Amino acid sequence: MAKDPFDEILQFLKPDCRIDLKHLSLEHLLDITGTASGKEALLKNEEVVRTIIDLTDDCEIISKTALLILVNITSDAHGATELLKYRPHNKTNVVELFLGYVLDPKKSHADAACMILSNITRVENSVKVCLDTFIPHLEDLLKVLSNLNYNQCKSKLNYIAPLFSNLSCSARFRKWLTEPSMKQYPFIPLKKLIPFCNYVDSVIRRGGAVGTVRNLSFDTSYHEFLLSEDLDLLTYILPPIMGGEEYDDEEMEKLPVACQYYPTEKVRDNDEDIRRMIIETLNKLCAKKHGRETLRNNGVYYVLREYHKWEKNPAVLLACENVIDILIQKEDEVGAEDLSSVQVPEDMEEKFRKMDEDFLNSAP
Amino acid sequence: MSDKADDSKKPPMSEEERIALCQKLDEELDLFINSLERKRYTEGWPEDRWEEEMSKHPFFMKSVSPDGELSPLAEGLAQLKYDPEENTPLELATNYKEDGNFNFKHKNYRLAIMGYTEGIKVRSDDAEINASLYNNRAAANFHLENYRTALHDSERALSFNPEHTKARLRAAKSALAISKFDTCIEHCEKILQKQPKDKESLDLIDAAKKKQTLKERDQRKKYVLDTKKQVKKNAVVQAIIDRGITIDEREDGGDIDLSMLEPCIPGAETDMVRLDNGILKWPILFLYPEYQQTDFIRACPENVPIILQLEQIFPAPWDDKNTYSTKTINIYYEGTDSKPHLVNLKKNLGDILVEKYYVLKAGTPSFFCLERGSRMEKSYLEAYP
Repeated sequence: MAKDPFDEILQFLKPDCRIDLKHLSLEHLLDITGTASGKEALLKNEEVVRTIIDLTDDCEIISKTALLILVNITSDAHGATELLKYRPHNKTNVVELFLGYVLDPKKSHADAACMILSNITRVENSVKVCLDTFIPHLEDLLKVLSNLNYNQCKSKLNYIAPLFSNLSCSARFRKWLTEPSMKQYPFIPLKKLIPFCNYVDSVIRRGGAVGTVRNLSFDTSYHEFLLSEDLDLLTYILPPIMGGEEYDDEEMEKLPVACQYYPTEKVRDNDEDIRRMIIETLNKLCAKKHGRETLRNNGVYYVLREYHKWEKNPAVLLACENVIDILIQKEDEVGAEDLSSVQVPEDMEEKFRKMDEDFLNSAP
Repeated sequence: MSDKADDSKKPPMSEEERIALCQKLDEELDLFINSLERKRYTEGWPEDRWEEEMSKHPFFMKSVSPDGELSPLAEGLAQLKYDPEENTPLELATNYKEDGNFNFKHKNYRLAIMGYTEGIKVRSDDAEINASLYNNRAAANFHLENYRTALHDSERALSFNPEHTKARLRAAKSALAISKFDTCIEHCEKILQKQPKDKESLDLIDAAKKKQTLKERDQRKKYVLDTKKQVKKNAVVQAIIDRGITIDEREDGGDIDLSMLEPCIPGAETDMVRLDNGILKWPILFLYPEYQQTDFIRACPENVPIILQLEQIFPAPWDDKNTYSTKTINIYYEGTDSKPHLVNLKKNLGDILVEKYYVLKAGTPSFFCLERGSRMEKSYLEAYP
């Protein structure tokens, strides 16, 4: 069997090896993981991967590079799934190891550990596997996310938000998110998360929060909760799609109080994906009558009317039009109590899909 | 002599003799008492009014007599209670606290505050009594709706005892009452740290957040409306500058601002010149020296001939000779050259305002109207140098 070139480097990665050798070797490996083929090759050598995982606990300069290598490895689905198979000593799996780093206020480069967790959970099947490891630490993760100065080594830990977004594909996680916890105020974890939908300093954190809300909206059983007065969701998801436009007095009065009378300087969120996710959320919330009525009563139609004049991206415009079409009708015209349960005949479905495609392709 | 000797040799009494002797003594006593005069006991309080009498005694007084006078005994006792010589600071402070509590119970909040204040002045070392005094004074102030003071006193109480939940709750409520929403929320969250499910705190936080959102909205609304107003004002000023209308300025130089355009007529402040779809609309004044009359006309568009405004006025009610009409009058304005200038009635108001010698005073174009060829007109014109 041909000698695996990675085996050579192993000797320089031994724990008792000189730091500068370790560091150089790791930097070299980091470069290798910059390409897809490099990543694949590295993954094949289990010993090396195991060593890198162990080195994340080494001194700062070593652990930093080790963590970055793992970030690269987990950046695609294959690597993310592979890494989950490893078991560092004393831990059930790698997730527990990285969770430990995230929750350690003194860990430098905890951000990288956070990214790894986010990468791993992006693969939906992996969520099932590692959810049990996350469950006991969810409250702590939320506390850490909410405390902007938690990490003493300048890690912002913004990636906890997309981590939550990834986990929200699990029903158990959604249950935790939306049910009163007895441990701390405010009791409902989601309540602590949604203000971050407006967090200007990090598009990652913002995107994660919005993504979590969006995923929740796919489950119609949560709609009544999502639109409850206590949660005040619209106050947080409308601002990113609102600008400094003028509304009539009548229209203004309908908007949520916190969204009224924005100064002319107000700008919409500059991230297209976030805007798109918000429109998708609004769309989902229109599935049931209660949702449609709530959105109408809060002036969402007016917001979308102005938004439609501003948005340039064709896909988002289309999504926006879909919501407007629903909201603009009177309730008796809508014709279905729960739109998500309407069965679209296959041939019609194909026809609609083609119409959407044509619209998108025709845009200049 | 022989009797004495007999006494000493008497035998001791038997049991029966003793009993008989007791009974005899009892009977003799009863006889004696019954023979005494029956006199009533008048020294004590009358039976039917004993409670009333008792409440007047300084030892048992519950309240002071209406005129506030105390008997010397009562005064002496009172002074004893509040005498620094007779009490330790703690005792003194406690006495004042009791005094305050007494008044508080009877809803005399101002008197209660005085009592607590005296207790505070004692500056006892005991943290508990100080916390209590400040807390109680805060409560009294709260009842009097002195929310700022109530907040201050509550926070002073907390400085002596940070765990005083009642004081902290009152601090939160007082803060909310004076719209210090952040302070209210801070205090509530501290309470929730120890008692995570305290309903009052949770409700207060909700109320504070709602009020804060409303306050911020109102601030934004005001800003938007003020900016709009300012933009409108600036547009008017700019329109006037663009047309090159001369304005009478008392101050030297400087930009025209709207204060120079305020009409001098009381009640006309709302009729200041305005811009409507690019047309300036002016308030104007017609003066009739002959009859000492004036006409004030609102919102005359600049693109309308002045004759049309006059046609609305005539025939005028004060014109008993019926000599004033658009065909018979001349109208003049006083120019920058201090001379009267005749106005061509067919001209638009706006064109008149930009005539060479025209100057706008007090934001209100004014014109003198006189009958053409009349003596009045002659004397008016001669009045100018």
